[in-house]
Amino acid sequence: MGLLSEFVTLLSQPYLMLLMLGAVVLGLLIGILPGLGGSVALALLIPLTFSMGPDAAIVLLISAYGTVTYGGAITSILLNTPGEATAAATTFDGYPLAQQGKAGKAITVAVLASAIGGIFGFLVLYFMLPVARSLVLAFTYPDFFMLAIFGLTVIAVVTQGNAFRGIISALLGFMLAFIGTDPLMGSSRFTFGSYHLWDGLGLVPVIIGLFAITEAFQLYFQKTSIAGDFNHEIKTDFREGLKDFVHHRWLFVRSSLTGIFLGMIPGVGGAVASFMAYGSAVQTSKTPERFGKGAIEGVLAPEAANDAKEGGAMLPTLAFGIPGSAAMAVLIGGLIMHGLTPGPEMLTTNLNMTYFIIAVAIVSKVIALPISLLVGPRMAVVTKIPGTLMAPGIVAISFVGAYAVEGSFWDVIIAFLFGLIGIFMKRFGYSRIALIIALVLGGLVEASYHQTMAAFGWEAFFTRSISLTLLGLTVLSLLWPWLRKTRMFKRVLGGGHGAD
Amino acid sequence: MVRINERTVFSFLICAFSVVLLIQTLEMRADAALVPRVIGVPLFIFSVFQFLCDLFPTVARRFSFAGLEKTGMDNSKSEEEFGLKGNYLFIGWMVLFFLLIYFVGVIASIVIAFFLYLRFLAKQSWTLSILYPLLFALSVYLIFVQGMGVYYFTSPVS
Repeated sequence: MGLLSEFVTLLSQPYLMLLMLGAVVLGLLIGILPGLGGSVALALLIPLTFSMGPDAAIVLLISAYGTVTYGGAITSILLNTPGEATAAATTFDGYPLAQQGKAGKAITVAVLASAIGGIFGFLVLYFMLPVARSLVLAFTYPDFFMLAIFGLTVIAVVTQGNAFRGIISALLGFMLAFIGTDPLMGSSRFTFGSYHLWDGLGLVPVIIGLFAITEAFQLYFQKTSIAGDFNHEIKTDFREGLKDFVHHRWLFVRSSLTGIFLGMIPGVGGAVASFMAYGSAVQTSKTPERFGKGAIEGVLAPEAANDAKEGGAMLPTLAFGIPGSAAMAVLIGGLIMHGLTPGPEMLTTNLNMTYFIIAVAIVSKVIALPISLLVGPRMAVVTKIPGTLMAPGIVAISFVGAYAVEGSFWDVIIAFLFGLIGIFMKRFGYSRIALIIALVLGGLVEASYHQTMAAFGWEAFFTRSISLTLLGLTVLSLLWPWLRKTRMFKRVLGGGHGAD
Repeated sequence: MVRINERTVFSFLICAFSVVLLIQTLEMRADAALVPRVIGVPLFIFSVFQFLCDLFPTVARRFSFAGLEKTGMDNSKSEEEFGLKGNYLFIGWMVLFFLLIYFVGVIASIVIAFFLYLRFLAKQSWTLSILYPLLFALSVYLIFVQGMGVYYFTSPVS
């Protein structure tokens, strides 16, 4: 009933619905622009929400974030250029379909799979909330400590090609999280005599710097537009697309479930989900030779998985306050700014807000469907803008956004510094995702450590079954890069193809 | 053989940062310093090791896990793809933009910084170099100053 009443609340407020409409168009546009993904979209939009209430902020952020993937699918099909890595698998069959003159059908199937996959993912999240709530209530301080450490090690090891530098990034993020006042006595730490650092580093300017400014830097080197000549007057064929979608409904369900499951695992992002769904579609097809040459299943499977994973990823984010990806870390930053702290409270005292988030996500997916089909292909014309012209705009929005949040020039300095750090981290293979997630989790780790020591003593880390299991998983994830290289493990996995 | 490049400098800075933080923990109360030390010590060890691998290619070859293999999900481009001059021109422009915000305010800084970028860095036409900054500044003014009531954009902080 809680979810239904939140639907009513949302649909009965024209202001929120209008905001959602704008956010959907904005999300679609950001998704179409090359190099700008969900995390950048959120980082750039958070400053716009500072004068809004929590409801409006959630509508803007969730609606725009949820629509970014639609835009990525459109450019993958029309231009063979995914907006970000998560849409890369769609190019394999989407672009050949466009070359065969079936772009309209491919876009319809992609958007349908994205929309219905996303809705499916959030409905699964809704039905899993009671289970998650009892699980969260079974957790206590040492378990939260171990969960945060486990989530972070998985992210450091899995999301980056170089696990060692991923771990360095995570440790660095933790140290940055300790800047400010200590949780025990409130004395200042690592503030270097600056009162600006008493409250720690602001999450929003750090996120803006690490993600938006870093992407702007990359765009600066893209002197030409990614789009060649393409037909942006494509007419989407809803009936034909729907027929294909219904025909492959079981592939859709399988791919969506793959996406939801992978979304729940920290660090395993949409790219892994969509590639795994694509691989599974090829393996289970009776005619695998059609893949890569324009098989519609090759569009449906990755798009369904990519959007369904959002519901899965939201579970650890909302229930435990453990972000599974960069975008979720950014979202946590946005929610904290509006007085909502992801974690057990979101399933107890703030449960209605969780239902509201689910309602917004579902309604925005429905609204994004016709908009993407009607104007999406036409909006792909923005890819004709060279990256070198987009770069100053993104830097300006980043600086303006960082400044607007609190009117403090210090935040612009932080955004700029972390922009520089992000540029070099990206170039030299350090994980920005691990750093930002460690920055988010640092406070939780330290507080739960001290609470454990005060309430239970150090034995609690090794005697409680949940902590012990999580400790085992942490050790396993740390050993994973070395384990998968061993001959025996390769044999067990049948040729060494791991979860990476 | 010793290799000193941007990568080495960056790993040295991480290393130096961890040292500075660890030294700071010596001045803290023991309980407040405990967790930062637990995290800071491995950070220091790992970052020194990474620095040594970056400084000495022979060490990097022996310990491949800290070596120079390409990154996976982050889509990093090779260093060669970024011209050194181009790198620092853009960073220099960002510094200028950032200083302009401080001295002349947000709206005016957008107009000036954009014009300089478009005309001299991106080598665009005069028309685009004038119209784009004006339209962008107008949009920021309408959204933030008029729409959201952000008063501190129009006047310099100083």
